[in-house]
Amino acid sequence: MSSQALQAVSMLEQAYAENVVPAPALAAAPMTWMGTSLGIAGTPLLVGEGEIDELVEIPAVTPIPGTKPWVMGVAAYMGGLLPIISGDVLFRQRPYAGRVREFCMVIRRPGFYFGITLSDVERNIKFPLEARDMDYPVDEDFANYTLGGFHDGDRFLAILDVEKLVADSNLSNAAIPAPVSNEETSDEQ
Amino acid sequence: MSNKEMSVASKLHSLLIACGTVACLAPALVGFNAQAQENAVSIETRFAAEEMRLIGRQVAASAWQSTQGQESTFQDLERRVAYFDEQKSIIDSDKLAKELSVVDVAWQPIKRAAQTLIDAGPQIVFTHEVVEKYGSQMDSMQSEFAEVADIVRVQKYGSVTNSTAQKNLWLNERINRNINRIFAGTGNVEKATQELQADSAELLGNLEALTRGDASREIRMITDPMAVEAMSSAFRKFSTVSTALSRIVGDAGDLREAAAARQTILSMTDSFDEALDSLVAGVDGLAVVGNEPSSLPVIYLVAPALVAFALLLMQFMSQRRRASYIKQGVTDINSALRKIAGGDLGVKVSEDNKALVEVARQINKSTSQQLELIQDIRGPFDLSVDEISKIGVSAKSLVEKGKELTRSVGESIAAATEMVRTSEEIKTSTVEAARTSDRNCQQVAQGYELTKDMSKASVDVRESVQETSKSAKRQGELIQSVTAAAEYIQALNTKISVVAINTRIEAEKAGEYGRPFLGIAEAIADLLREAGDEGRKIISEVRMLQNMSAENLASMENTVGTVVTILEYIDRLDGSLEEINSGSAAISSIIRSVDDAAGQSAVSALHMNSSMTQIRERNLEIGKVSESTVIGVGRLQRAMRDASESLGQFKPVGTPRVTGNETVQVEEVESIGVAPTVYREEDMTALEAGEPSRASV
Repeated sequence: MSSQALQAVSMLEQAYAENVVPAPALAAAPMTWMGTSLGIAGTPLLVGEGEIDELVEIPAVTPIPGTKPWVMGVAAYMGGLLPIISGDVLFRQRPYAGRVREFCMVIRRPGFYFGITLSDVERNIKFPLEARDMDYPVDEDFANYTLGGFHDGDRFLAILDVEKLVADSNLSNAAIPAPVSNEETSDEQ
Repeated sequence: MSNKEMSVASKLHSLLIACGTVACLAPALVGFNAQAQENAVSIETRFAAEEMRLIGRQVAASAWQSTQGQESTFQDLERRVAYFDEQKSIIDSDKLAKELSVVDVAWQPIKRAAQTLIDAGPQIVFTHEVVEKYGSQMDSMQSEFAEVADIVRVQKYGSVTNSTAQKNLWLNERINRNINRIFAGTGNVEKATQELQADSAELLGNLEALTRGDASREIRMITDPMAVEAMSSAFRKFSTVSTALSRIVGDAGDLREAAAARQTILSMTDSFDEALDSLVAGVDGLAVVGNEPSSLPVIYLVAPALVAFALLLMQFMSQRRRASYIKQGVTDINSALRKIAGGDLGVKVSEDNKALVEVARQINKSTSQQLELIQDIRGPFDLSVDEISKIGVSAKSLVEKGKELTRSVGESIAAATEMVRTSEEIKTSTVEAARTSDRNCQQVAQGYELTKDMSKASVDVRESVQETSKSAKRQGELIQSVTAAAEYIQALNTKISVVAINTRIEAEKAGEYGRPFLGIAEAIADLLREAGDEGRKIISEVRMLQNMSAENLASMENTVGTVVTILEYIDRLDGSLEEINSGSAAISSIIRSVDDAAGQSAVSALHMNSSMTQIRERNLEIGKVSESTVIGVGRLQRAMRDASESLGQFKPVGTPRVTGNETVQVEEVESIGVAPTVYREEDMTALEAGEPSRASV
């Protein structure tokens, strides 16, 4: 009985093997670049997937004396302190007195945890990876911190490379250089 | 010696002198006739030589004149050639054989060339006529062709038609040049002939094509009346050439030969003249040798002639002295009588001429007596003439003043008539002006009503615009609130977008478990993209609507301002119309017063006119009476002047006056003639040598 059943199963298996239609080959999924479309200091930019910790509304900021102009201050956020940096002043290297920025993006890297103000927040966006243009000219103030970009309609969206930004020595030291002390000089004399 | 004896002696003296003269001149006359017979042949030959030289130059002149195409030139040339041969045959002296042979050598080519010219004469005359006529019409033809070309260019008949019309100009010019070249017979006559035929045919073809059109050549028919008339005129003028073309082409060879013959004659003229000059010099040499007479016969001829001439001269001188002495006395008496006839009674006749002393003495005595009588009569007449002259002058001035017064009155009448007419015209004009003023008043009243209507309509417009403006303001407020709502929605979209982004970030952080949230985040992102686009579009359109509303509001405010300005203008217009109305009323009253004044002026002018007419009639009557007075005084004055002049002809001393009696008296004196006394030669000499003495009566 059991042999008949096994035989029937093997026959069934054989019949299937003879009449089976091969499964369709899976087409290779197109490689896409995913990220967020936003703007800093009026310049439309893209930030890649995993680069941003989150987007938040700029909380109340307490200024910190003795820091560089692009440091707006420190804000209390989710039980901790979050330094807020003005994207307009940091990249343009000049004072900003325009519209008040509402949002900032929080960046978390080893040794770095801060928020940069955004001039515009758009949406999540994806592009075919082969469409990346590495040679298109970018705004001079952002040229050192971008790595190619994509064409979106009649505009070019440069990709902000957060690693380059974090590696900048200017960002790593937010304190104003201490003035040279005259007393020591006079003492030496 | 008595007078009779002296007369006989004088006649005998004259007879002897005449016989001696005849005897001396007879041998001279006979000798001269014989010498003339001896030299007859040499003069004829010399004349023939001179004629040949003259004819030779005339032949050259005829050859040169043949270019002018006159038929008489060729006839003259033929006659001169024959006359030259005739004169050449007259000279047959053996001594001139060498000069004749030289002349003949130069003459024969000229003769042949002249014959060629004579043979081609009709062709030259015909061609010259054609050239002259065509040349005289050339300017007008070119003007007509140019006119056609201008019309074709202006009216845009097309490039082919335009070029054809332009081509006619230079075709006509080249035809004229080639005809002249054929007539002159110079240059390449064959080429000129061919071009002439081709150009004439082409010109005629062009005119035909322009007149009727030629589809094969793309030439359009010209329909402009001026162009058609110009082409017809040019075609008629060109018929001068077209009808004579075949004959000109046929005669081209003869014309060329004629030109060559003309050139031959002109080139040989110098050598021919030299040959003829040599011939004339030779003939002159022969004539001098034949005219040498012997010296003895001349002496025989000249001596008697000189003797006879001396005798005749002596006779003539003696007769002349005697006649002049008597004539001098008669002339003195005639001169004195002319002065007496002219009224000069103070003249004295000279009494120193012995032949006429008695006559002179009687004349002087009678003139003295007449002078005394006339001086007694003349004084009262002169006084009367002076007084009458004064009366005549005053009467004339009276007449002139009367005429002046009449003319002034006539001018015053004309001026019064003109014043009446002007017054009537003023009256007519014032009536018309019054009518016009009334019409103006009516139109001003109508304008006044119109301004009231306009004012009312403007007020309505202003109220309507103000209502519309309020509505537009309300619309603007609504649009403002819609804009605010749209911006708020846009801000919400941004926040939702932030939530979606954070959702995606958190889903990524959650790994496999967060994949559903990742899909949700992407779906929200797509929705947000569409909502964002629409939101931006809504905001843009709402802002556009807001701008348009603001512009409409500004426009309405401007309209309200304009309506207010129109209302102000209407108020001003109303005031102006009222002023015009009052001014028209004032003008009407002025016109009426002017009308009355013009009527009164016309009546016054009529009265003045009738008064002036009466004055003129009276003045004319006075003028007629004054003129009668002047005429009477004039007649009296003329009668007194005649009497005074009749007496004034007799002057004691002064300038003589010529009267009708002078001729009679002179004739009477001249009839006295030569004195009966015949003086001898020695008496006449004594009279001429004596001192002139003048005796008075």
